[in-house]
Amino acid sequence: MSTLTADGNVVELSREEGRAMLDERTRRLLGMSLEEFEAINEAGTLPDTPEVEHLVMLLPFAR
Amino acid sequence: MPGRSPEEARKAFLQPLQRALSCITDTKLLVSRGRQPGDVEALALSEDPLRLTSARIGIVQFVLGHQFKLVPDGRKSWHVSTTAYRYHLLDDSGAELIAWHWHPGSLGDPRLRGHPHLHAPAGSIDRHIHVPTGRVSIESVLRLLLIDLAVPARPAHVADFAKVLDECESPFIEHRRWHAWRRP
Repeated sequence: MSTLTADGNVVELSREEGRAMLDERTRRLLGMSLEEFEAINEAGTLPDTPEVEHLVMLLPFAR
Repeated sequence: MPGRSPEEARKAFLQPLQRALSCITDTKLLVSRGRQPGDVEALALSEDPLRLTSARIGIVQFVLGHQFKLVPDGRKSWHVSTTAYRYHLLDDSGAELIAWHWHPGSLGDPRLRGHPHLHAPAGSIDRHIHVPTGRVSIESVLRLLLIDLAVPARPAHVADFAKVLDECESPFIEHRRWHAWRRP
């Protein structure tokens, strides 16, 4: 985790940190792990909900 | 937002966004890191959804989804190009109030691909209806929260949030490559 601004309010996450952040969010919002979410997304069978749309937007944190 | 290097362009993009967000919250702006310039990166808030109190409608939750990439302009210049956005406002229960979207790369009706739009369920209009819009900035959503929905500004920005938002949005308006859909 590294800050990009002097006030520390822009924080860059490493891939590992990003995966941990996203795993917490997939579990909280969908009740599944990040790995499960990635597999279902890859299969194209995720439901069309605001939570799913949002989590898909965050996938670059996991790559 | 241009810069002489990928890092400079990235900072020129991120710093005004964080300054705009500081008008309403002290939550941190999280950013991913592509393996190389040109990879799609993402933004998120450390508090997700960001829970706010509106003097007009009570609890309102802001969900920020934004993807971008660094693009070379030549040998000595780079800029940040947005590749998708999804900004959502939810009520206290998590139900969607309004959502602004532009996601040209994702699936959906191909006749609507690349068209910025909003979803605003109301009456018989459900959340799958695409209401056309121009391109929407994060600053303009913050402006709606602070002014129309009367979410209180943070103490340091009670007097100047409108000016700060205008200043932060200005580079975006000046350097954006598009505002409305154009034929590819």
